[in-house]
Amino acid sequence: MKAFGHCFMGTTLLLLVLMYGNAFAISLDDEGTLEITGKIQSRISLRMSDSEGYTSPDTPVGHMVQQRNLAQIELNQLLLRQSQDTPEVKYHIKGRFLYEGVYDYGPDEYQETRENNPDVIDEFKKDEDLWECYLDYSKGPWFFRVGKQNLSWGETDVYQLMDRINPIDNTFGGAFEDLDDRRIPLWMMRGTYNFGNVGPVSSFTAEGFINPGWSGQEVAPLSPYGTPYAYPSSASSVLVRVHEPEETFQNSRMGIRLQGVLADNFNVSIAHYQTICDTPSAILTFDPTLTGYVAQDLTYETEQVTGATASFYESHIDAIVRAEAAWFWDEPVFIPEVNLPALFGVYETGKIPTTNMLRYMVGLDKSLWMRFINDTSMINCYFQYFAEYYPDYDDRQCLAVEDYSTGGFIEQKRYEQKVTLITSTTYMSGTLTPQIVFAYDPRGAMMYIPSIEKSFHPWIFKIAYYGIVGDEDVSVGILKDRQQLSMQATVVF
Amino acid sequence: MKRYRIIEMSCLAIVMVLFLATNGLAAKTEYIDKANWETLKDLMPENSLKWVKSGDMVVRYGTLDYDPAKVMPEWVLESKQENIGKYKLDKNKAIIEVATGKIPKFIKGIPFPDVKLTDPDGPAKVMWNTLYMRDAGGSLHNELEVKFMGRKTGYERSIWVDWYSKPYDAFEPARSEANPDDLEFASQIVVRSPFDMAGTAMMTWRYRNGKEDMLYGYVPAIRRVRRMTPAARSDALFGSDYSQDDASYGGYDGAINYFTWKFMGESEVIGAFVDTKTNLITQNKLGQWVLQMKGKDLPQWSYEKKREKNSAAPWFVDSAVWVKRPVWVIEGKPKDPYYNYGRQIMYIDKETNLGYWKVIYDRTGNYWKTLWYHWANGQDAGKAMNLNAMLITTIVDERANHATCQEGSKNYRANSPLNSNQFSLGGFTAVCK
Repeated sequence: MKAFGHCFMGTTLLLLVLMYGNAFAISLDDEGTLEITGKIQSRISLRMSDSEGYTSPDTPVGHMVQQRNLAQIELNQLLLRQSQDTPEVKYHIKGRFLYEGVYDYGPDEYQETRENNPDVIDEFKKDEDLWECYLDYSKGPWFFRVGKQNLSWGETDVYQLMDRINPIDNTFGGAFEDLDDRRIPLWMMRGTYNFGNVGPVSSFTAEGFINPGWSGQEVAPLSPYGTPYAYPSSASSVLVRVHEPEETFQNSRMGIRLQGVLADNFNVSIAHYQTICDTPSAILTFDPTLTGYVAQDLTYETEQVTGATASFYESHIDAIVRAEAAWFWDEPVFIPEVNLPALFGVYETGKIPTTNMLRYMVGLDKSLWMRFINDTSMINCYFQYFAEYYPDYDDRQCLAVEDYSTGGFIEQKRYEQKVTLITSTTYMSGTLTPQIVFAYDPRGAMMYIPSIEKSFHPWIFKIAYYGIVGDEDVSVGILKDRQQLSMQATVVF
Repeated sequence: MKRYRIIEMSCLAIVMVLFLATNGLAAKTEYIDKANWETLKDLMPENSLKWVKSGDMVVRYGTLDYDPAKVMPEWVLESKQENIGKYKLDKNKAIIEVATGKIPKFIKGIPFPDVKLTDPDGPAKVMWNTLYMRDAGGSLHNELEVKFMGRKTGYERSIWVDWYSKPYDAFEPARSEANPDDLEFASQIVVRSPFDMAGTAMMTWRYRNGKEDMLYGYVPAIRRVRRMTPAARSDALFGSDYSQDDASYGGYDGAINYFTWKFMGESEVIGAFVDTKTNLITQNKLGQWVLQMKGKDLPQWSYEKKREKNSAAPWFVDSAVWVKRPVWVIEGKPKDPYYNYGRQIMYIDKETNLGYWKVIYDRTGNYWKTLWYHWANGQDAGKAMNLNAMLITTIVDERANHATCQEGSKNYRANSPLNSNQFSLGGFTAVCK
């Protein structure tokens, strides 16, 4: 019956799109204040490298690892237009419907994953959600958005730095999905107030948000064992318990940001907020009442972040310079001897060690004409240098990822660096977009993602290759056996 | 009896004179195509005349039933007297007061009503006038349909955008607005549709002192407001044949001192208008002046005729009326060696300071694109309020056999109640997705 429901919904949407036969939003009134818009998307990904190490199940080259079907429908309505006396009020509702078919008609290894764990996988493979739902209110210098929404602060692409307010869902496509598709909207209230010019600062704006913690917290979900985008790990031999934050006000996500423009050129902001770490902290709990005496406890911890950003136009190089730095207070880290003492023969419950940490980024955005490549559109280049630094580094620190070659855990360095480069342009009146993304870790690993997207409105087709080279114990290299080729078709309305 | 006959004859004569006079003022149009294209010789840029010769363009040539130089906002008409000799340009091509040598706090209407062909700063002054003509219309919220068309493919697709523009100069009611950042205007472009582009937005702050524009972009995929380089203003706008700098009343929307300007001379060309009559504007409850286009069946596009035999290229507006107007011919050359265009030739009305044509050459000097406008001059029923609306623009990329048209006839709303907060960083985030 549910399958019929999905089928009916999909068919209705498709008919709606074909009926209109174009890519426009469907306006429900003459003034265009009420409209329905959305997309239906299907994506197939094929694994392009043989499974190694702890990756499970074993997936040969060419096997399908993803057949994701996604529909998003938005309803937008402007309730009141702003005038000198009246506020502007509008709302936005987005429904999201997701179905992953690889467990039902994919390769045998993924059908077996479902058969081995049907309750979890049947729940995992589909999703029907009120994805976004918020009301906007603007009057004079005030702006409020109340409801289920995304909020992103900071200046970075590819890797998150200060952009850690919403949890990230890495379960259905991992790092190979667009960041925005992975953000999980939260019920929150956010408000901004424009102070105008204050001293040397123009457009001085204060912004605050709160996602109350007393009514349950949304956290970044974990990939079930045996699914294609789960991190490589051995199957747990002990009971695994996941602990979400307690429902108290103290566990709210909340924060404040001040931003403005200095000297008519320098955009600056400072921010402080509390969030919940996307990666739960793992400990082994020694409990004689349990079968086997030991359980693995995964706990989502809160974290305080203080940061600042700056960006400005540098006329000599005709580029935008971006910078961002954030201090992460008492970030949970992983020290096997402390988190998992039972592994070292110490039969007591592990603890979650914490330490302060600095992350920063310097970036350069440069658009340039390379007319021998493209004489109608600029080539856009976004370069970023990321670094992480632990001032109180413990040389036992590791990533909570098992190292297949040693049987231990992958080492966490005191300094970590990465360089990213995104380059793209458009051809054929903006309907053909080639892009290449590099993420390079100088310790010896690189991810590269060439892609090309062509639209025949309302249809959009995209093909992308996700390649990874380098050492498997270095950041992006951990996923080097997960290289994939993805093909995606989208229809928009 | 004889006396009555004389009175009768006199009345008849008066009626006849009035009849002739009114018929003389009434608009008359005729169609000019490849059969009689010579009529338009020297009245169009040469490359555009070729379209008439080839049948790609059929021109409805005629007159208007009003004088466009008189249908302008009252503060513009007043400034044509009040601003004579009042302003000049400094070395950065910023407008300064002749009396004080300082940038004025506010300029009403157009700054340079008395441009002379012999003035070396004359062409830059005319370009300033075109920017101020845009500002003189007041805060604008216009829903634009950006249409993509190919010569063979016809209509391809559309992008719908909301265009918000708030002037701090020229528009008399803006005189009382606080302008601490000394802006000439601020604008926002927000894509509403299709879904894959919806939410993409750009904001520009244009300074009055010649400083580089502040550009911000909002990319829904990263959900953040980003600074953008001013060089991006010559990049293709949403992949179209336009650049952001093309979108203004004179064919150039960048900072005046980014270009060197030269008079090529004075001339007469035909310019396009949406209708032979003024277009009715009415004020809604928000105080906006709304251009009433409903029920007029205008504009009529060639592509909608499905390429009938002898029809024009798909991007032409068949219903437009083309009128002979006196123009300045101005050449602009970018100082930035990386600017996408080479020289550009603008044809600007000497009386209204509105552009009719722009011919664009590439950096090697070869002809590339042509841009032209369709003007709608709005007037309320009492003829107390006038506005000049750049209702449709078309740009043809001759090499690509492709065109992009912007049509703003569906919801053109001038004097919109936009406050400065909308153009702040916080306000920009609020209009984004």
